[in-house]
Amino acid sequence: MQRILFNFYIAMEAVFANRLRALLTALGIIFGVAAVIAMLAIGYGAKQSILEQMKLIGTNNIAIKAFVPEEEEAASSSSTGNKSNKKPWSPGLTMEDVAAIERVIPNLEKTSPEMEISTSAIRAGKLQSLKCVGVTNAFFELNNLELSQGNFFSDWHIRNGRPVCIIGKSVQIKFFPEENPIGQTIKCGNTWLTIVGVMERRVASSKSLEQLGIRDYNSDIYLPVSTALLRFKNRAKITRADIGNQFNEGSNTNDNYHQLDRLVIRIKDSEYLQASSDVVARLLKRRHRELVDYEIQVPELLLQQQQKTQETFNFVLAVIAGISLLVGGIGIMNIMLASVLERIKEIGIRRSLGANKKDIIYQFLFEAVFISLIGGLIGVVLGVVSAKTIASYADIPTVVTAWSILLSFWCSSLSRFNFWNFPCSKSCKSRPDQSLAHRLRMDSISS
Amino acid sequence: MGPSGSGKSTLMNLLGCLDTPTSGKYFLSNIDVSLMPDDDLAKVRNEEIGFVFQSFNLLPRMSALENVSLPLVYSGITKSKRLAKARDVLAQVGLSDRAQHRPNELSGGQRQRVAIARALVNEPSIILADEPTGNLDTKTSNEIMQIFETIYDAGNTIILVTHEQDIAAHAHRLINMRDGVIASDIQNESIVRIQQ
Ligand SMILES: Nc1ncnc2c1ncn2[C@@H]1O[C@H](COP(=O)(O)OP(=O)(O)OP(=O)(O)O)[C@@H](O)[C@H]1O
Ligand SMILES: [Mg+2]
Repeated sequence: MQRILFNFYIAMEAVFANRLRALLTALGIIFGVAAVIAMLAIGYGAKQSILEQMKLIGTNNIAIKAFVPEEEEAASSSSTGNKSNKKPWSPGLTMEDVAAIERVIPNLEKTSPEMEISTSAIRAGKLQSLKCVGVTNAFFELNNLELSQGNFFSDWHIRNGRPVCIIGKSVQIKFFPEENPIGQTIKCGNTWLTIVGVMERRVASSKSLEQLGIRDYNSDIYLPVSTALLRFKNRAKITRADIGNQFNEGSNTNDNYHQLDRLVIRIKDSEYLQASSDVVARLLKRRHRELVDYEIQVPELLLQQQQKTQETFNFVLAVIAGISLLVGGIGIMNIMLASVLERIKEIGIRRSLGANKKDIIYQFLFEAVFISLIGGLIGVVLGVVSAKTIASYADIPTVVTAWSILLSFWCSSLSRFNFWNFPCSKSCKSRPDQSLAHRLRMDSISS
Repeated sequence: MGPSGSGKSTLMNLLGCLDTPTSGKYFLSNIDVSLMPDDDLAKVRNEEIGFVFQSFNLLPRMSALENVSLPLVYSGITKSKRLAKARDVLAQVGLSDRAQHRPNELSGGQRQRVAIARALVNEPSIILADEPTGNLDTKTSNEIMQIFETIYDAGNTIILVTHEQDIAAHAHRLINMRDGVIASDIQNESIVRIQQ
């Protein structure tokens, strides 16, 4: 034990006597470990954010988003088409489309129509402009939204278009900081709505919300879509006021003719996701008189695509990190080999004074272990710091996991061990009477 | 003694258990060491044999004292005892005041004395010296030979290789080598007679 300690001491002495060499050796390991940790952190962070988005959108969904085609587009298509300059007329995305989809798509699980009304809510002297969204109960289910208080809409509410609503958490905090909002009324636009439920807060990074085109659910007021159509504006119906507006202002300010803004469909079997979305596309095209005033997205497929690219990316990252670690290991091997050769004389002297093979091996092992351990530690620190720096500057989510640290450490020690073993076995494992004997003989020591 | 290439160093290597013979046997204190495993050979080198080289072969990073105590490390002696012993032996070769100096701060003669102290520190029965005065001037050589005389008087066997007649004149037994074999092996009559 004493002897091992002494060998350790000798090794330390050798390291500190040759600080520059030790540092150069360690650099390979430092950067190797740092690279592995940082890259794993980036890869893992990306994976996490995709999983988070997956959870947000739910599985097996097809989203249909209505939009109003550009005026010029419509104009150009009408001029090339040998028709009158009337633009093609589409009824827009309506509840009838929903019914048609429900009839046609075989393995449909749920449909969730959404209708957005930008308005403001007033209660007890507080005013907030927000969005009232007409939905059905399926909306909450598809988006994995839970209630913290109260109930979802009842069948009766929906059938009769009752003036009830479910509010987001932020709305509750704004209007009902202390009291229980259930049963209270709030005025949205010109309609008083009775609150029947409060949603659980949904935590999601604003970035992933933006990426998925999902609103911040927390600051919305939800009401049955039937209520919205009945008591708010039904854009599918042309009223006298609309006509008046059009004449008065020439170009109509609000030309959104879609009854619904969004429609989300859930399919039972993910296998038919793409096929179903194709069917929906054809159906809507026919129903909308060949005018594509909607956009069909299958977020899951998009994400899957993204995930695949991410995986390839991760693999490449891992390979690069592995190579840098390997190069670091080769660096250690190189320097250990050089130092063994350079110190053959020292080994000879020590052997002549009674050191056995083990002593020499320990001495060089400690040297290698020490360098790579210190290098590994510095590498871990550097890796974690660079992961954090990347996260804050490049806005890439990074997650440093304990196992990535362990893995890189393990890799570095493994490479160090193998690389150390080679030069050392070259000089120490041979018996004095074998290939390297001449190095241990007196005249080579004296020369 | 013998011309260059006659096998003197080779013989020393064999005697010092740094090398094992291709054929033939080597008995040291009635034990056949030619077939011993490395660990045992290391032990024999440590306990029975002290080496002195032409070019001193001290470890440059260590002080004289640490260099001298090195063989004790490999025989597993605690640090305080090691240093005490090393200091004693350094005093024997007259270098107490240079204990903390590194080899490159010492003269050739001083370095060789440190090397001798290192060879002596484990109280070996045999000292092997391969041209120990080869790098030294005549005056220092004489000082070194003086130290060897003292060691011899204390009861050690000293085997010394040299090219110089006046160094060889110190020896009690003269072996001449030629082409890898012993050419002559004679008593040094003058010294033996004086002692008688
Ligand atoms: N008995 C022997 N058997 C086999 N090889 C021998 C023998 N004697 C000498 N040799 C070979 O001769 C070569 C020179 O021997 P060695 O180095 O011992 O000479 P030396 O007497 O020490 O010379 P120098 O005076 O220059 O130091 C070595 O390569 C050694 O292998
Ligand atoms: Mg020789």
